[in-house]
Amino acid sequence: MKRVLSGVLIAIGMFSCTNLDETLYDKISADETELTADDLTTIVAPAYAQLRIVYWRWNGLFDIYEESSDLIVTPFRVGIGWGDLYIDMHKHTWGAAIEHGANLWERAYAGINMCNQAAFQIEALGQVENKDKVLAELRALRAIYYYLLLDNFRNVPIITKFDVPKGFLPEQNTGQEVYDFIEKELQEVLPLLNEENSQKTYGRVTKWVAKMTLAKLYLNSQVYLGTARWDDALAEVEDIIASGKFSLMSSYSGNFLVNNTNTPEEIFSIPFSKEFTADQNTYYPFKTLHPLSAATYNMPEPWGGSCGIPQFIDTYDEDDSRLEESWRGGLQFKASGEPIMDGNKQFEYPNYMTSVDAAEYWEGYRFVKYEIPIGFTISPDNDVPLYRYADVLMIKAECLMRKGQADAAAAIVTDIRKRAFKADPDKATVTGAQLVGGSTYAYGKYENGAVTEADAGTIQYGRFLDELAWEFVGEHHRKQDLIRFGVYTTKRWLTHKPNGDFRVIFPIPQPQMETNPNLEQNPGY
Amino acid sequence: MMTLALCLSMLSFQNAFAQITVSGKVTSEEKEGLPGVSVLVKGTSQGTTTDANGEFKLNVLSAESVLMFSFVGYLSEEITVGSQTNIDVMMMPDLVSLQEVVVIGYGTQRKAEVTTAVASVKEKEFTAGAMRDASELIKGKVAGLTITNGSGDPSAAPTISLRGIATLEGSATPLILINGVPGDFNTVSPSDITSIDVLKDASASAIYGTRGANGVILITTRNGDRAKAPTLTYSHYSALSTMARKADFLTASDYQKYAPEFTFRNGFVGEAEANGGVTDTDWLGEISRKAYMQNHNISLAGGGPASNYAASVNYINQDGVFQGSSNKELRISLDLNQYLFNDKLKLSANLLRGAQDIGALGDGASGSFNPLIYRNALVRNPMLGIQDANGKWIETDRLQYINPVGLVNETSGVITNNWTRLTSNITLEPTEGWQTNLMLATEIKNNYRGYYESKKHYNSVKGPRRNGFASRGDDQIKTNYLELTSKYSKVIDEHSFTALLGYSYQYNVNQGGWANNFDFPTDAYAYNNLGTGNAMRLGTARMGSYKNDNKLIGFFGRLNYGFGDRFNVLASVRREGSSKFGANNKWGTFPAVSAGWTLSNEGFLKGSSAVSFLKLRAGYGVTGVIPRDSYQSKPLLTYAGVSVLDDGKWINGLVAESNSNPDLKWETSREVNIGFDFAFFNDKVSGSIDGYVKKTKDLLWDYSVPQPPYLFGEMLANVGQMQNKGIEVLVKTTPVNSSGFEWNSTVTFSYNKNELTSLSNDLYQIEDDYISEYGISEPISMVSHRIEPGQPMGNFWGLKSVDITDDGLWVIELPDGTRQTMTSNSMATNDNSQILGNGIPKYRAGWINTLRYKGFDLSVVISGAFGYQIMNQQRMFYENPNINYNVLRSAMDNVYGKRRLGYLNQAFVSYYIENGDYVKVENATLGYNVNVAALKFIRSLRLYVSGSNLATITGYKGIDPEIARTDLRMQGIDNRDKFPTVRTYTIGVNVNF
Repeated sequence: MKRVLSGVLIAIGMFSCTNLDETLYDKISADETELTADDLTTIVAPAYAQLRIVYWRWNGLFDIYEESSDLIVTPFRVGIGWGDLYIDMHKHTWGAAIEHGANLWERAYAGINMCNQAAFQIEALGQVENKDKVLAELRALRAIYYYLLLDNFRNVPIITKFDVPKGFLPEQNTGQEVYDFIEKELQEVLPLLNEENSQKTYGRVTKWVAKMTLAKLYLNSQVYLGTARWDDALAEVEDIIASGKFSLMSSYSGNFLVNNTNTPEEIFSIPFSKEFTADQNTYYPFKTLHPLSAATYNMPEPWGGSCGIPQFIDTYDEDDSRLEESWRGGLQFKASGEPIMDGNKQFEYPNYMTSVDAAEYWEGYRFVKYEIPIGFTISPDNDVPLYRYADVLMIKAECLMRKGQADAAAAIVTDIRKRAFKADPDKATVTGAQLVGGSTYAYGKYENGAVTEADAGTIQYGRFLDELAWEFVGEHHRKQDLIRFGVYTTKRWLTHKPNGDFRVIFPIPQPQMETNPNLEQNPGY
Repeated sequence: MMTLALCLSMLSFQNAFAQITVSGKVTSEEKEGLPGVSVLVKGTSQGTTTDANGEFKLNVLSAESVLMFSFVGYLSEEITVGSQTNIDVMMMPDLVSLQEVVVIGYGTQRKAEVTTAVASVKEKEFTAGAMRDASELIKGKVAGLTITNGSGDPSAAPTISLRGIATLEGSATPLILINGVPGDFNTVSPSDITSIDVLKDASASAIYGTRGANGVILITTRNGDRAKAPTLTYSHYSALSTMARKADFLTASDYQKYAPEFTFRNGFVGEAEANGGVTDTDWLGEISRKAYMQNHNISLAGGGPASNYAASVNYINQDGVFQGSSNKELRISLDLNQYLFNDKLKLSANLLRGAQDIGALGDGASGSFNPLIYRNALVRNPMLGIQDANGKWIETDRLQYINPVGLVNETSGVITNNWTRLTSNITLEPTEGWQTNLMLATEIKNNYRGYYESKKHYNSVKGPRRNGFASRGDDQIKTNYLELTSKYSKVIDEHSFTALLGYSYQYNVNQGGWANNFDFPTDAYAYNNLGTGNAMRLGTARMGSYKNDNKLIGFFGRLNYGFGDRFNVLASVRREGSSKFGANNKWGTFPAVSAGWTLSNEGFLKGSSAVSFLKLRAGYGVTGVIPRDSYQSKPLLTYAGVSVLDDGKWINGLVAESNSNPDLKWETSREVNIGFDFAFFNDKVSGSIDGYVKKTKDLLWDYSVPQPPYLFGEMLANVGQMQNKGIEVLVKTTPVNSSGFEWNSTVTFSYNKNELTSLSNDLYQIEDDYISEYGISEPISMVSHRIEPGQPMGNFWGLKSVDITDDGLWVIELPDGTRQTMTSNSMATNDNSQILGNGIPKYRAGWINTLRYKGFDLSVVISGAFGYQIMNQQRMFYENPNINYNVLRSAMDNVYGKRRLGYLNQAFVSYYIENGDYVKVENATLGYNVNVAALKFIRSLRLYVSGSNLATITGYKGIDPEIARTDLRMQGIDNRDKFPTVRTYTIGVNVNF
């Protein structure tokens, strides 16, 4: 019996009686991970990687700027699907629960938190070479996230620290405060930011990226604060131009190729890789193309519903190469060049739509500005040029135009248009008088292929607004441009009709309203 | 050693002089012979059992020998032999079974001593028939225990809850212990089980600390009896299952019928014409079938003078009602006990081994059948053909719209589950009353999966065009247990004491991995040659693996005190630690105390014929809940998904994985239970009534937090308080018991009221103090529930529809009483929405009737749930005639008696909230005990026919108002793609040799 008892005691001894430590196997913990100066890039990386999520993850930044505008729509496809919240984006009937708003808020703040966390980790590293420069870069990146929030929500909380006390709930700031914060942050860090433009700075925030963000802030000052700052915007872009580090590419489509890394036109890009960022794939070819287009690219079958709004497609000059470089329309062909047959007729994307509530599957041109390679699988390689040199030039042109120098503006616009009218260079020319004139966009109620009720009134600088659309369609521009030119909440396109001036900003997302009592809903919602 | 030798010599001495032969017959009240009654000479291991006629013969030592007669469900008898050589005994049924032993965890109690809310269901009360797992044996029989199947999937586990929802984190499932070791209802074969005891209140379950918060279910399996002739039992049943009720969708002829008067927007006619012509396909019929099942069970039990054993083999071969779904299961159990040193030492070994093969038509460990196939069978164009002239599956270009027959035929897969459990017990009893037990157990559960989509599969020829896709995966869960308990019992005059001390250690480690590949050269390899696919080379195949562990350590003690059969007190405390908590919060203390007063043993009631038993009980206890996942308190970092381009090279970034919570601690529940047990009129009516109040604080759940400052929108934290109040009633009656006819009737009833009392604490507040839950998938994506203090969980939240306009649009009554036409789903703002009902039943009831006449017996189990609503998502999605897919027949009906729905989008409005009240005939079994007196080698033979899910009385329009209740935050959703429940007919036989 003694033997049994001692056996029992040995058995107990084998286990340590009260030890409750956890062993990590497939995870790592910050407590047990010692970061060193060698980890600097690893620490900064997440704050940059988050831009991919902000931009291309489902119902992300791209959709916010295009689908609430007069360029792109995802209609209800008869016999197929879609509709739903995509139509709310088109008709401006969203509420605080709309996923697009919730996504942008959460994803942008995740980016801001990552910037704060990285700064916190770097501060803890002790002596590190270039510490002040890296911290400056993070502050600038954080300001870009705040700029996106300002543009879309206006009244958002400013948070600059990672180690906040338990239970801390940020206070909401006014649009003015957020604006001032972004401006101050960017101006303060400018002297510390890298002035290079090389492979080393590709995808990173440089002095020029910060200046471009400031330029955009000033360009939209009238909208944000009611005070125009055209001269300030002009000064920032003049600096970028004067640096001589950037230039226009000879072809428009060169900006959107699979291999569009390190082009001279890119100022700030979000790099993508079909190998390394495959888990955050850009779904866009699938979201826009009809299944039969699989044969054009030898790709898996798309399931797309998004397409160009016919009224916009109609505005293109027939010789503007950007129409073909941005859109897939008309009769369709296989990769081999043979026609794609749909039953016994050739498959075609007509520039036609029944209505946003009842579009056939094939209706509408498809947005293919980002090159889709033959044999495309699931994850494109194309980087997103967040800021490119043409944008710098167009900001300069707009500022000049608004300051009364329309002809100087027209010269810049003409320069940009040249690569789109290579076959007929005369058509590239645009005059100052044209720029300040009306738009060619036939605003009004559209049904069954025609504008049935036209909107009255001309749009000031309407032609310049058209130029912005032709150059920057699908480049997170249109919502901001429509607002700045006073069109967003005043004109009709397709089935959309104005639904309140307050819609120039989104409601504070419902999940945030429910969890942070300090937040007040934006006016109108 | 001396003692042992002495004992052995005494034993041989006794045997040498055993001379008196006693024989006799044991009968029931109805004077029928009772077979299988244990007859034991008191104080020895000598004994026998009665034969088929109830007769026995036995040698005894002397006239002073006392014979003990015992049989399950009857009061034991003791008779001194004296001068008799023929002893006939009539055994009386033990209705209240006061001597019945109740398992209470780390020991047993006589039912008369129990002071807590414990329900005990013995083998003879189990439901017979095709029992999927042990839960079905007791469904409807324990007041307050809710067992919901809600699916006809043969491998699906039921959802179980006790006394409502008291936790939000993970599961409300009670702790299930099989002979003291955690497991689930599927761990052992139902036919090996002899009793299922349910510890309902915290004063009983607190001895299990954290694991006891949702109650404890103790399953006891068959043991051999010492000194008993071996018994061999064979049982078999065959069962046939069909869908109990099918969703009623439009057929091809319906489309012809409605064509002249209604324009469908789904373009089905055109689609069929363009794809081989209009035909008539019953898609659901094509993928379903009548499902056959067979079950064989052999068990052997017996024992020698100092040992006993039990062994069983159980085999199940079962098809699902859907083509391709199946379940094959083999379970083996072996239980050996050896007594040494004059019973001072007992060594036990128990082996459980199970193997299961599930036919899998979906990727991953989720189960046997893919809901995508079922959904497509419902919504597919009934005018579309199945295959074209070349035998190719007809596919068209609708979103998420795939030929279900193609999916069934071009998919193959298997999920293999294996589980092995070894338990050993060393029990030492050096002196009478002091028992020390060491339990060592280890359990390994493995899961291996293989899945293949052929080159003709939708995903190969259309969609992602993967050209053959295969995946493999495996998971392993390994748990080690050590439990050391020491118990001392003493009776001094009218005072009886039992003290228990114990230590328990549980270590769990989980690991696994998976990989997939596609673009295969041939279908011949299926999932067995993963390396041959091209996707791996192209970098588009994926793989992953994981490993985690956790520990739970407890010290516990318990004291029972009884005074003169009148007063009983039980007090326990457990100090328990879990590795899952933050460094300062790892340990918690869980005390409990309860007391019972047996009034019927007091002078003023003693001898009363009306009140044969009455006991008042009261108890209080504290229990806890630990989080589901390990490492939640740690600031975890991950490299996943954060690659960035750095100077031309892609490098990994390191980022936080979740909002870490270093303050993570126990969720604790405090429960008060007051109840009484009664028996009236010579035990003709007996039962118990319990009332409880359970308050839970520091609710553990994925709390919604604002961004900023948090990195993610949810965080596991201790916030909020909840309260459950309820009443449970159990009444057993014997309305008729005469001239060979016996009718027993048992009623269970439970009422539970749930209320969330707080959603905030010092650290976390919520504006307006509510949280919206989104329980409706695309393309509706609307708020389904609101969680709000002062309200119960499970409140539906949305637009209240009251009428329809001439255009067929919903007319919504706003909270202020005004009416507004709904033109867009975005109308569903918080201001326009209101509470539309509640998805949790307030009342549940069970009614079990057993009738016996001569050799026949009939039992009927009826259960019901009342006072709740169901969100009928099948109607919400498919009762709109304007959608792109096939629709329910009821979509063609007028809404509010006015006209068909003209609203184009699917939407959530109160029109789809229905009352869920139902009464269900769960099971009816008719059995016949064949008179086997003529057959020497057979002791008993029983034949039966049984039916499950036979009828449902309900006003609910969906397939079945008994719905799965997996998501605690969104109760009452009847899922759009829920598998239909099945109706099963069984014939079976049990033979005892």
